[in-house]
Amino acid sequence: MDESVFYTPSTATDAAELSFLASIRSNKSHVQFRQCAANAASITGTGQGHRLFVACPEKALIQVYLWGKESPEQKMAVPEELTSLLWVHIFGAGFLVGGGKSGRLYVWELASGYLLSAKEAHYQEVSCLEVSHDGQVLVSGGKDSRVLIWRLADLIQFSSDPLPKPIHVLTNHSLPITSIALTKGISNDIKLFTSSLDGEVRHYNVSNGELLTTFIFGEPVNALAVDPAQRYLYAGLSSGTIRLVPLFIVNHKNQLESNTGCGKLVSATSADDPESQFIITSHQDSPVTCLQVSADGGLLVSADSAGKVFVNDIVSRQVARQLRDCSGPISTLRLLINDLERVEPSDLSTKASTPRILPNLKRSLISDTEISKHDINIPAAGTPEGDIGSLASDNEQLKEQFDLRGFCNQVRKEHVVYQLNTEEEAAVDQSVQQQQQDTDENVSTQQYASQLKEMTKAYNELKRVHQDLYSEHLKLLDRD
Amino acid sequence: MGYQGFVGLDVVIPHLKDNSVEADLMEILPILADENAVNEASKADLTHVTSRAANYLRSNQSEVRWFGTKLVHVLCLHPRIIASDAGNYISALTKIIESKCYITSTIDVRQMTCLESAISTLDFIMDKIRHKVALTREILTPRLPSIIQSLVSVMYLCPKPANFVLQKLLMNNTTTLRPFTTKIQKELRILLDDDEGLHKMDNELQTLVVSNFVSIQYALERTNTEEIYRQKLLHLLIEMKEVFEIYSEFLDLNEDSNLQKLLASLPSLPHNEEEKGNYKPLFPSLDIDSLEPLDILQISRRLHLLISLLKAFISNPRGTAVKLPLGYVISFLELNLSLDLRFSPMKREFRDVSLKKTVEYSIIKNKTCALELLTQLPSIFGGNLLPHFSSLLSVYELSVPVEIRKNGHITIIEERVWSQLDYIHQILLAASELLSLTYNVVNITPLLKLVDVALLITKSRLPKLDQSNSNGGSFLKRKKKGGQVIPLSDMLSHQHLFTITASKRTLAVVRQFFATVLKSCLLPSSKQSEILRFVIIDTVKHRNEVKMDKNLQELIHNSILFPGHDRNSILPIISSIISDNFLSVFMNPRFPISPRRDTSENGITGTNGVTISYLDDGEDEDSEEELDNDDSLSKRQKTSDIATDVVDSNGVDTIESMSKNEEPDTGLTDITLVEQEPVKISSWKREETRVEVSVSGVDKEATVQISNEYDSDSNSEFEIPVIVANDSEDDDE
Repeated sequence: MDESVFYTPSTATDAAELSFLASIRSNKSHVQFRQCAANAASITGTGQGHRLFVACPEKALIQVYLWGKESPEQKMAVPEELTSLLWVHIFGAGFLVGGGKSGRLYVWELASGYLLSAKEAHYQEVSCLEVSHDGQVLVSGGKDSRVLIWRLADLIQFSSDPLPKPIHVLTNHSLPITSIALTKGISNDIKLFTSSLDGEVRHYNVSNGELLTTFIFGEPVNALAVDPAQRYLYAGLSSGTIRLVPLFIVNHKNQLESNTGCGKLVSATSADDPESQFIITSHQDSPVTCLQVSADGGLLVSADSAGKVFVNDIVSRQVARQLRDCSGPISTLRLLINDLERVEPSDLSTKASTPRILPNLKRSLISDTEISKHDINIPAAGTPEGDIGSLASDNEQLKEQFDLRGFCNQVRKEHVVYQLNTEEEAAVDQSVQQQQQDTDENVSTQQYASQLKEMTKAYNELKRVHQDLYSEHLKLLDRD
Repeated sequence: MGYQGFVGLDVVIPHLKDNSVEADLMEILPILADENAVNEASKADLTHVTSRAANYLRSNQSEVRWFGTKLVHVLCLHPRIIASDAGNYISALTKIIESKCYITSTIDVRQMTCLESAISTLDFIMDKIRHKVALTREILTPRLPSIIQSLVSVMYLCPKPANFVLQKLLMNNTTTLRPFTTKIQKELRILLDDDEGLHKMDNELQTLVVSNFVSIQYALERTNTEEIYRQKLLHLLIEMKEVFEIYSEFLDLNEDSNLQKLLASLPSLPHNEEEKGNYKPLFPSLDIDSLEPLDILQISRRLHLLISLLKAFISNPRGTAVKLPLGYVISFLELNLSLDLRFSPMKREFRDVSLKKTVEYSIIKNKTCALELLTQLPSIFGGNLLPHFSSLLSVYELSVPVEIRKNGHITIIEERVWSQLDYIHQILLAASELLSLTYNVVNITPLLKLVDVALLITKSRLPKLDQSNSNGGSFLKRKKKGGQVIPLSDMLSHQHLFTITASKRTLAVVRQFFATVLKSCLLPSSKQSEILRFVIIDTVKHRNEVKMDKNLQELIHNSILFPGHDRNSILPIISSIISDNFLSVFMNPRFPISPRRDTSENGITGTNGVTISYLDDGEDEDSEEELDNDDSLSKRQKTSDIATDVVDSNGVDTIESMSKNEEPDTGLTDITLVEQEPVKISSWKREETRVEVSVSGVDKEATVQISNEYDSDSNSEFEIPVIVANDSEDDDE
C-alpha cells in the first residue's frame, strides 16, 4: 500500500499549468497533468482507467483527464462556471456533483451524462462540497455562509415529486464557508466539521443537524481536516499556521473525556496555546488552503496559497517532506490510497482497450423520454475502466491456486463408476468361467454334441410316427 | 542441490506401464502435482511421464482414457509441461471428445464420465494457456476450430461442461467461433426446445445455456457489436411485450391506466417496413386455446424464458462497451408486477372460474420471475438503479395481496400469502436488495405493508382443513360429529404436532429484510417494537446454536446499531441472551487513543529522528512504514520506554497516563484512565512536558509530567505537548 497526494493550482503563472500526483511516503512522482488550473478538481483513483475531472476557472467547462495522459481527453460544456466539483461513487455507479457560481447544485450521472438535478441551493457561489464515505450524504457549503446537508439519493430521483430538499440547513456561520470534513461511521454516527472565514469551526451531528461543538480560532480558517479516528482536528489558518485541537482531553479528575459535544465552545486561539505546542508552522506566512490527513493519522499534508505542499509529521510537528511546488495557490488537494500489488487489467488482457469516452454531460435537465429509456453506458468487462465500476471484487482472470485436495476428491468420486462396473464385469466373467470348468469336469462338448444329434434324430423319428398316426386317426374320424 | 523432501518422477514411471490402471491415482496425482518433482526431474524422466500420459489418452478403453485425462490435468499444472506437451494433449483430448467416447445409442456411465473428464481437462489446459500471447498463438489458436467442432458435437450429450467451455470461448475467441455461429445456435435451440427445455434443466445449466444463447446473438458480429447488441435487446423487449399483450385477450387491460402508461413507454413493433423486416422474434408464436385453461401457462413459460434471456443480456460479461436501456428493462418488469386482476378484470365473455384462476396463477408466476430479476438488478447496476428507487419500492408494495374491508381498512389476505409464499419471499428479497442501496429513506409508507407481511409469515399456524376452519371453535365441534373424527382428533389432543412453523428460508428472508429495513429508515415506534420483538424471540430460539446464522447476527447487530426513534436499546436483553464480540464494544465503550511517541521497537521514525507509534501494538494502525530518514535505525535503537507521570497541580496524585497500554473502559462521558504498571525509565533521553487541563468551576489542574532528564538529543524537538482545554466560560452560548 502506498498513499499519494493529488494537488492542483487554482491559477497558474506558468504556461503548463501543471498539477501533480505524488507519493507522500517516498520520492515517487506518479503523474502530472497539463493545463490543469482548476477552481476545483476531483480524481477517481490511481491506476489505469481512472479519471480526473477539473472545473476550469472562468469558463463553463469541465476537463476530463485519463490516467497516464498529461493533456485533457475530453472537454465538456456545463451550464455555468463551477466553483466546486466532486466525483461520487455509489455502489459501482459514478455521479458528478458540481456547485455553480450562482449557487446551484448540479448532479450528473456519468454512465448516461444525464443532468439529474439542477437545484438552487445557495444564494452565493458554492464554495465546497463533500460526500460521506458511502456516497449517501452530500454536504454543500456556500459563500452565503450556509451549510446544506443533502441525501444524494433524493437529488438523483427521477420522480421529482416532492422536490428534493436538504435534510438540514445549518446557518450558524456568519462568513463564507471554506471547508467541510465528514467523519466515517454508520448513518447515525457521521459527524460534520465546517470551517469558515468567521474564524470558527463547527461540529455537527449529520443525522439530526444538531450543533455539537464550536471551535474558536480567532482568525479566518481556510482549511480543515479531521483525524481518521477522530482524535484531532486540524485547522489551516489564513496566517499560515496549522492548529491542532485534541478532541479528547484529560480532565481535572484525571479522566479522559471528550472535548466535544453538548454545544460546547472550545477556544483554540493562539492565546490558549502560549507555548505554541499545538501548531505547525511549515507554511510561514502563506495562508493554508488545503489540509488532508494520511490514512494512519500520522502525516498531515498541507498546501498554501504560494503553491507549496508539505507533508508534516503530526507528532513531531515537523516537515517530513516538501513536494514539488505548483505555480499558483493550491485549490484542491486529495489523498489517495493506491494498491501497489494491483495488476493492471491491461497487463492481463491481450486486448487492452483504451477507456471509452464518457458521454457528454447534458446541459439541460433530463426529459421524460430520457427517463423512460435511461440509456446507460457500460464499459467492457476485463478493461481497466470496467473493473473500476465493477461490483465483483475478484478479478476473474487472476486464478487462485489449484485445489489438489478438491481435485483428488473429484477423481475418487468418478473412479467409483469404474470400480463398480469392473466388479460387475468380473462377476459375470467368473460365472462363465465356472460353467466352463463344470463342463470340462464331466463330459466334453463333443460328447454333448453327439448326444444332441442322437436325441434330435430320435425325436424326429418319433415326430414322424406321431404325424403318421395322427393322419390315420383323422382319416378314421372322417369315415365315421 | 535443491530441496530434497519430495518423491521423484522415477518412482511413478514404473506404475504407468502398458496403460495399466492398477496404480492408485490418489498416490500418483500428488506426486505429479509437486512442482519440485517436475522441476528437478531429468529430461528423460519427464519425457517418459508425459509420453506415457499421452499414450493413456490414445487408448480405446474408456477407463484408461479417463485415467489419462486425470494425469494430464495434473501434469498441466506445470508451465514446463504446458510449453512442451500442451499441444499434443489438446489434440488427443479433442479426439476423445470428437469420438464421443464411442457412445452410440445407449449411454454408458463410464463413457460419459470419461467424456466429461476430457472436456474438463481441456478446459483446464485452455485456461492455463489463455492470455499468454505466444502460447495462445502457437498452441491454442491453430487447434481451436477442431476444439469448437468437437464441443458442438457433444453439446447434447453433456450440455453442462460443453456450454461452460463455450462460454469462455465466446468471451475470448470470438473470431475463431464466428464460422460456427449457426451450428452452435442450432444446438442451443435444440436444448431450449422453444420453452419446453428450459424448465427441465437445473439452475446452473439454465444460466449457462441462456447466457450462451444470448452471447451468440451479438458477440460474434464482426463490426458494430454495440449497435447490434442494442438492437437485439430492443427486439427482445418488443417480443416480451408482444407475449405479455396476449393477456389483453382475456383481461381488460384498458381499465388500468397505469398499466397502459407502462405499455406505451415500452418500445413497440417498428412501423417502418424496413425496420419491420429486421425484426424477427426469437421464438415461434404461441398457440393458446382459451377453452383449455392450462394453455395459459404457456405465456408464463415463454415469459420465463424471455426474462431469463433478458437477464443474460444485461448481466453477461461483454467484450465491448455497450449502451443499455435500463429504463425499458425496469419498465417491463414493473409492467409484469403491475398486472393485477383487481385493476384489470377478466373480460365478460370468459366466465369460466378455472380459466380465471389459471390466469391469476400464471400472473403470479410471471411476477415471481420478474421479481427474481429485480432482486439481482441492484448487484448488476448498483447506484445507477437509485433514480428508480421510489417507483420500484411502490411497485413492491402494490405486489402484496391486500383487500379493502368494508370499514375502509386495508388488510393483507392471509390465505393468499400462505399459498404464494415463494412469491412473498421474492418481494421481500427484492425490497431488501433495493433498500441496501441507500439509507435515511424518507417515504417509508410503502415499507410498512412489507414489514406487516414479513411479520405475518414468521408466525406459526395450524393447517386449514375445512372452509369453516376460520370460524374457530365451530370446526372442531363439527369434526367430532363427522366421519373424520378419529384421525382428526389428534388435532385436539396434540395440536402442537400439526403446527406449521416458519421454514428456514422464510426466516432467512425475513431476517435479511428486517436487517436492511432497520438500517435504511426510521420506522414508527410500533413497527420498530414489533421487529425488535421478533429479533428477541428469534435470538432466544437460536441462542444455543454453535454457529449463529449470519443473517440473524446481522439483524441483531443492526437492531442495536439503529435503535430508531425511541432509543429503546435491546442491548441489555440481547447481551444477556447471547455473547457476541460485537456487543462488547457497546458495553465497554472506548475512546480512540491519541498518537504519541513510540515506546516500542517497531514504531515509525520521524524526520527529526523521533520514533513515533500510534496506539499500542495491538491496534491495527499501520506502524511499520518508514519515512525517509538516514539515521532512523540508530535513533530507534536509542529510543526506548519513556515514563510519563501525570501529576496534579499540587503534585500529590500521580498516575501513569501516557504509557503504552492505557485504554479507558468506562462510559462515554466519564472515562477513567485504567490503572497500569509504572513504565520503566530505561532511556538515555528524558523530556519534561506538562499537560495542563483546567475545567470550569473546578480549581484543580491536572498536569502530565514527563521526565526526561537524560535527553542528549538536542536536535530533537519532539515533546509530548501541553494540552490546554479550557472550557470555562465557553458553555454560555
